[in-house]
Amino acid sequence: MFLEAIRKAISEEFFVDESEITEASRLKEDLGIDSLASMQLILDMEQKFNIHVEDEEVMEIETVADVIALLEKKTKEEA
Amino acid sequence: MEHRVVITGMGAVSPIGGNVKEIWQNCKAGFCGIAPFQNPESDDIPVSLVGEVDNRIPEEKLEKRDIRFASRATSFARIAAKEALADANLSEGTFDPERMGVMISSSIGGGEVLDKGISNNQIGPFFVPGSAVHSPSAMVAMDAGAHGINLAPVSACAGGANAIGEAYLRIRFGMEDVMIAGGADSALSRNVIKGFAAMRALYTGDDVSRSSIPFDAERRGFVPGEGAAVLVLESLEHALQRGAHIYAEIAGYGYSNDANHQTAPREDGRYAAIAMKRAMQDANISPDRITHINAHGTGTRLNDQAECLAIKEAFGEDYRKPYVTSIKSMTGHMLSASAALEAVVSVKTLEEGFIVPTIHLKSQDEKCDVNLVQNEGIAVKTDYVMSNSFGFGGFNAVLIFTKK
Repeated sequence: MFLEAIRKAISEEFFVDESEITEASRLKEDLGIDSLASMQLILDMEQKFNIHVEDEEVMEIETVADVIALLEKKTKEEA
Repeated sequence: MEHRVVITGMGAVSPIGGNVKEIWQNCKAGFCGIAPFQNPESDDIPVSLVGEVDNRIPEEKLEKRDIRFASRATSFARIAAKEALADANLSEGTFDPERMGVMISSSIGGGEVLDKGISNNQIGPFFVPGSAVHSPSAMVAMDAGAHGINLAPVSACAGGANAIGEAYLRIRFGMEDVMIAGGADSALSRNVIKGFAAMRALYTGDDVSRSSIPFDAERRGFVPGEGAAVLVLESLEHALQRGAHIYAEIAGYGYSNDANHQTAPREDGRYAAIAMKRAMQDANISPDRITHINAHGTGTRLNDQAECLAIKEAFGEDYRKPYVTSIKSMTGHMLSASAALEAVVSVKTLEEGFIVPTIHLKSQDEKCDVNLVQNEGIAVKTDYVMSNSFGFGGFNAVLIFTKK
């Protein structure tokens, strides 16, 4: 579920083909998502899943798998 | 040691074309880029006619992801700068990136980025950098890999000319070798148009032929426009050393401030005249050497009259000798980008010996009795060309160009 949501957001916001986005994708190196763009991605996820991500948590994200793990943790915490 | 400063590259995007060649052809032909608004943000825009850049231009020339969070001004600046840099043919190893600076002025920045973020209640991480007035200058430096000075000089609609003038001074006094300078703006965001309309500064009718009519007795205000224009400037030695094509030389730069009113020009044009005189002093020429004045000519009642009085004051009894034109009759008012585009057109005028017309002129205001090039361009050998740019807030900037 989270991978699909991330794929959709990245393709809609940054025009990356969904097929290029896997769990192993590195945001910056593979998908061209720099620090500002990753904050936009997290903002989209916060709104979609009604969660709040701390600043420090955003800084630690490097791969799509990291975002998925973060979303899993946050949705559990806030459930 | 002082350096002579030359122009070796030019790029532009405007309501009358997406590159310098196209814009120049359209200027020569007297083509009007003012038309009904194609892509308004909402249906409550208080004007029907605008000078709009065709959306296909950024879509063709930039990546979608670069456009998405950027202001239109930034996208236009990047397109114009890419054209100017390619035109200057600054290949790797022929210049020092640490001695290449950027000065791209913008007066509004990303009004539409602010509008969109606020009205959708979506204030994301691109809201500030996307809307910032410095964004065009920052992004152009990034594209060019220019590590020297970067400033976005802000002086309303004189901005593009101040950017070129200040860049010229940097090179002249040896502080940089190369400068990428110009202006980029969009006056077409919903709230910016509303603000200008509330000032009663805009033409609000729907007759293209009576819309942007500088110096005409029936003029009622300016037509909001958008675009960008960028020049590559370098020292003469630097250009010669790398075998660059030299379009023209910047012969003089003059400036002043009315210190008079937030928006209205000083009615007698006194300080605009001082800017023109300073530019001529800087170029070390007398007024009779100026063949042509590319006027600010916005089509507002106050500007055009004050500008003509300023020309009278600066040129004395020979004030009807220089041929005067305003390309805003074709482009509308691209704010700081107009000042830079008018520099580009001035350089093309010198290069081709052809002065483009002020179109849609029906009856010249008797209070604006300068020697207007009316409705059709004329072939004239030009010696020195003066480009005037003034801005709300009393900013006055004047550039003089000549053949090298």
